[in-house]
Amino acid sequence: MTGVTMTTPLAGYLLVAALLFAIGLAGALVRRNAILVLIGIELMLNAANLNLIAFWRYGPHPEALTGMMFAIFSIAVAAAEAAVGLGLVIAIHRHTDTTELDKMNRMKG
Amino acid sequence: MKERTCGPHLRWPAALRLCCSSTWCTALWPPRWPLPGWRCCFLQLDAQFAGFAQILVYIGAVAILIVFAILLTRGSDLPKDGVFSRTWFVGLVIAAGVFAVLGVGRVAKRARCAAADRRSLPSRVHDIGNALVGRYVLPLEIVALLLTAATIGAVIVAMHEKERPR
Repeated sequence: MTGVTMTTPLAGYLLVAALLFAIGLAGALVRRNAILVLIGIELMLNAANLNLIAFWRYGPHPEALTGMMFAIFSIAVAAAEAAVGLGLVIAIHRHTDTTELDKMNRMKG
Repeated sequence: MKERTCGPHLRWPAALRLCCSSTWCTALWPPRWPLPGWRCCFLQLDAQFAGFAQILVYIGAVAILIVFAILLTRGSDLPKDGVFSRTWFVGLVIAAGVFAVLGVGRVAKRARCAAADRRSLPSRVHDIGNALVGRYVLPLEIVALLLTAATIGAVIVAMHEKERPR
């Protein structure tokens, strides 16, 4: 792969990331189901990861691996967030017998 | 320097080309199948390690969690008011506005001015491993601790509670 030029400009990756973020945001704002809202949040995190990688790759020092490390740690944080979020959804479903966000209107367990 | 900039007419074709085609992953993929989305962006950006790590994490962990969560909560009643929230139109407008701001406005304008190193970098999994156990070993340990705590916390939160004596 050394010496092969990249044909896609940075704006292409940023547009894909922006589209992904908008789809995730729409999923998080539009849907009622808590699991689908979590999936939307995961899409937004994926868009952020793509931005991190693109800016690292097109930045002045791609050999420093900072963007790559940031993206890897962000993936780990996203996995942790998904685990805790889905655990919360299951716990709330056990108490209220629903996963609709409109019906989750009290903090008391 | 001129070839490093991208004009306004290159934005949408470049994004479409990014979604629909690729370099060597196109050769590995059956020609009539759609490419698996934005994961190929990682391959094109010479971030194969991050791309495959993301595929492993999301297919191996997050997707399984979501499937189990759906299976465990599918006994709930179907929503009478539909699957969309009452303010779905406002949500769509907000999402469209965010995309307009991010994609068409500020981001693309800044990207036009960004100087890009267009040479591909060699595969650097060895360098990534060295960096993870060298310079970034403390963040790696913190993330490992975070993952362990999140896993234990998720199990405790989702664990079946015993009936409290009244």
